[in-house]
Amino acid sequence: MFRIRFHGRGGEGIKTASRILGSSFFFEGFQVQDAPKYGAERRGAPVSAYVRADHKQIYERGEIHKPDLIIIADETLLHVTRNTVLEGIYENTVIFIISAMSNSELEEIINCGKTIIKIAPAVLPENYHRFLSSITASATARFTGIIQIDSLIRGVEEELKSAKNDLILENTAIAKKIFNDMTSYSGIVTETDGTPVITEPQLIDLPLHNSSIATPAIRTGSTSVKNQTGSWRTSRPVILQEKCSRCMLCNVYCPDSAITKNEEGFPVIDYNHCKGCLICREVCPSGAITQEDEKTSRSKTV
Amino acid sequence: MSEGLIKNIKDLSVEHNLAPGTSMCAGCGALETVKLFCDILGKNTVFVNAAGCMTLLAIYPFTPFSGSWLYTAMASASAGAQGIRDALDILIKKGRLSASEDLKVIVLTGDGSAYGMGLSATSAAIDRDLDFYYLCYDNEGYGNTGHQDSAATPYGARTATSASGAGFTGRKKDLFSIWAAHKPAYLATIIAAEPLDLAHKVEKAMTIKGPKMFITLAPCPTGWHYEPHQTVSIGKLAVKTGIWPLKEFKDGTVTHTKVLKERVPVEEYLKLQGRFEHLFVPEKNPALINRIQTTVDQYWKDV
Amino acid sequence: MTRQVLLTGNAAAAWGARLSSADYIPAFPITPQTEIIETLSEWINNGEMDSHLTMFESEHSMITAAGSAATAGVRVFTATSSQGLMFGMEMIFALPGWRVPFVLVNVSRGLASPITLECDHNDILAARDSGCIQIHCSTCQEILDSVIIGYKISENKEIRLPVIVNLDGFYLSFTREAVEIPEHHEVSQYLGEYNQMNDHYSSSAPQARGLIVLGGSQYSYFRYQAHLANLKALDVYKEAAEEFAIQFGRNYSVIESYRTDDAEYCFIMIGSFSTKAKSAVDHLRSEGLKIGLIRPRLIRPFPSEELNILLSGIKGAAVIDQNISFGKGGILYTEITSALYGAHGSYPVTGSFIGGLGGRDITIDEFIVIAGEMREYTKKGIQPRTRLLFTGDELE
Ligand SMILES: Cc1ncc(C[n+]2csc(CCOP(=O)(O)OP(=O)(O)O)c2C)c(N)n1
Ligand code: SF4
Ligand code: SF4
Ligand code: SF4
Ligand SMILES: [Mg+2]
Repeated sequence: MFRIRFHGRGGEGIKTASRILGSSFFFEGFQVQDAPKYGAERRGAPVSAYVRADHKQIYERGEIHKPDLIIIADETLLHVTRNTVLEGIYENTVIFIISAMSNSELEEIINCGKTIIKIAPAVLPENYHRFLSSITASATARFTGIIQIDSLIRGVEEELKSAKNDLILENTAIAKKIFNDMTSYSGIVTETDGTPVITEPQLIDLPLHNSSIATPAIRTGSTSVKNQTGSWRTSRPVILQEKCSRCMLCNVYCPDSAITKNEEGFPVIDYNHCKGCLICREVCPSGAITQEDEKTSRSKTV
Repeated sequence: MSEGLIKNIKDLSVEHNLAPGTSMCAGCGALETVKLFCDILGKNTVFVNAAGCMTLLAIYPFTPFSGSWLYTAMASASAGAQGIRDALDILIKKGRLSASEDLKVIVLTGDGSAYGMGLSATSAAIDRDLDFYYLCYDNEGYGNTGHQDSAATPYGARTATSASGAGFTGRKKDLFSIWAAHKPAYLATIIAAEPLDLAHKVEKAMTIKGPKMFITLAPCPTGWHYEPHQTVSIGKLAVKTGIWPLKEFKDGTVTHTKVLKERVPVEEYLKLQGRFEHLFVPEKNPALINRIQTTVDQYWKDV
Repeated sequence: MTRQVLLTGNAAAAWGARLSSADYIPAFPITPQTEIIETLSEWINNGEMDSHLTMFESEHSMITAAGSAATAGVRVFTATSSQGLMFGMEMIFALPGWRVPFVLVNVSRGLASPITLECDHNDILAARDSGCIQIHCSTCQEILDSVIIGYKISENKEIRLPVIVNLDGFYLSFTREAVEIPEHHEVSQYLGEYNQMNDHYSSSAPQARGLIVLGGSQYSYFRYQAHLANLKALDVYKEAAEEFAIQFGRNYSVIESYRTDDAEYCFIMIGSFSTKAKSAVDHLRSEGLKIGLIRPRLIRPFPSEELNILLSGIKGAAVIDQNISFGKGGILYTEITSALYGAHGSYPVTGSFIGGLGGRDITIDEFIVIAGEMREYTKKGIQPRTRLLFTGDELE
């Protein structure tokens, strides 16, 4: 069985990628399971999806805890939910990532001695974010060494069938290109047999707890600050003090209470929470807020 | 117009009672209103939430509110507010709670709930003259379930259940008038893109006892299909085109708080949103656009 | 000085709320419950009861308000019946998870369709899996007392779950019986000062309640805690009932047993018709059959152990269900047999009889027929098939 797990952010096409891959396996005659997993969070929040493919009926279900392949569509996730992204790595696990980092940097961050296949955004079209699902699905299809290009393209077309024709053509074109570019990795991800490794769970007898804690209640305010929604950002707003008139409109309109005021009366962005909506940039009457690519800014500040 | 403390933007608080770290989408127009509401009403509040996107404002154990919160159900947030208001009054009357500990009770619901499932509970709360605030954030669809059409979806908008052809073929229900017919103590439409108008209205409501009803148009990047940074521009255009009239109802009369000499054509508002894209591509559909324009013109002719 | 007066079951329920000093009563009318809220409202308007009643526009809202007010820290009483309980069911299932105390009286009435105003137990048993504690009554006195005991359990710091006190429409709700009304101050002493624990909203102590959780682990934890608390309520009930017996002289064990000491046979049922079973027992005993009655008062938590002890010498038991789970049969029968299964070596031959649906009478003669059938089957050692108590005449 192939067990493949995708990681990305809400809105990046992770679910679509898993479905394209699922369909491609299916067209090759495999039994398939594909499904997204998302919590309550939305656009920009970390999400995952998984695909299982086997020659016989699949009895496993739900999350994949021991993946043969992990796809990291958004490298910022390595900073935010590293443990989730890298959960269950074992000797055969291959990691595929879209990243501007050098190989050595990546190895240092991932740090688990596994095969890491990287595509640098530089070799992709500038608007590659629009095609992330086709890019990741296509590379993955190639890694299996089993999915043929026809099945992959059929998968892309099927999944995007309600989209406009141009968009479908752009997607199939990039899927073909990536499939070709990845030829040398054909077959790098291998099937493992279906029997799961059993680690005996330590069941406990749950005792009765105090009724005040045994209900989902919060007895204090403002605890949500602990959620670092700054990790959702793909672009960040940057305030240019020299242009800023301290009108505080940015503060008024920021939906996320992510702009404070410093002692000199200048706005300060709380990057731990700013979700990167860029409303502040849009409403700033002085053009004092610019937009920077999150990955570049992150490496600058590190 | 305001006798309140907020005379201009500078008077709005730069420190916020609603903490960051919620799971609302980036650029959420509803969250913008809730933030302003919390700032103006202060910390002594208890929000009573119906099912909708805002259910997820507080996810155990994280709450953004500096005050209190209770999630009830999609149909009955107003009844929950009644229960809490009654309880607070009883406790104060019986001397079990000091009056200085009292809270403002605010219902927070989406349009799906306000215009539909929750309407009877709300109608009854107004009938009972419940002393509460009611904030409906109107994102014109069942947002939390993926933006299907609700009774607040405007004509021509595409939703998950009106995904093709001319979009939604029904019309947006006039909840303002339905509520006005109940004669609540105060009723207003607001939008976060016009924070001063919003602040004046909330401040005014704070001096009034009884049901204080608000409907805020809540631009929703996820359900309306536009880029999150456009939330405020789209909100402003909703007002400038006359699509979202800013008005209030008090003592039996409706007053428009923003009457424009010239209105921007609705096209400017519609064309920014993916849910109306079919009015413009592959080719422009003047008939549909005109129909929307005519409805707006008709409304303002009657004002 | 306690008084004995004639009270309907509804009035007895209202008295229970009055003596328990309920602060708040969210209300909505439905036959056969309406008299409860009318009585309470009259007392409040007369100044005889220091409480606040709010009329809602539906039971869904009424029960939401009951739970919400309880999270704010007042003692709440409410009542409904049948369609009303069903309409509020979303909240009936939600509120145990809030871990808030209050007492709801349900006046049992058959569910539509067809529409009926008369009694059976499908309404209350639909709430079986909600997490609410259920006390089932058979007399008007028991109703009044159960409301009071209900608050004692519900407000216990380990429990904090809603308690539903159930009484039968018409057969109790509108039937007057002699009821002893305890003194108010004695009930106050029994219940103690209302302890709102962590149920409060105030500017100095904010709280968020009723929250969503992420993931099955947290969900499992909170759900299982409500289950454990519900189980624990069995012990808490016993203590509360014992205390009640000492103070008021009336004894309410988790299961009422009547003439079961040397019994070889028994009827098992809940609700007001069980008193009819008692007269059948007396009659059958006079004819020499060693038979008794077993009547669980608590359905949730379910007193499995106590039941097993009571049934240990019984050879044949007839479970009479005033409800029906379409496609399965009697609900009480399923509960009883599952509690017996594997519990001790030999358990009785257990028969299932469905009767009294929509208020249909169960006559003494029918109890006698049931006993006869049970005797036969027990001798043969086989389980009888499920029988509906229905005669040929009724088809006419
Ligand atoms: C009784 C019931 N039915 C259905 C749902 C599922 N549901 C949850 S949120 C929601 C949509 C609510 O729409 P709206 O009030 O407009 O709020 P929004 O999601 O747009 O924020 C629905 C249908 C529910 N929670 N309860
Ligand atoms: S981009 Fe600007 S407006 Fe948006 S969350 Fe960040 S600081 Fe707030
Ligand atoms: S909106 Fe622009 S000018 Fe005004 S305070 Fe913010 S950054 Fe400065
Ligand atoms: S779907 Fe719309 S209303 Fe809901 S959280 Fe996202 S932006 Fe806000
Ligand atoms: Mg909505």
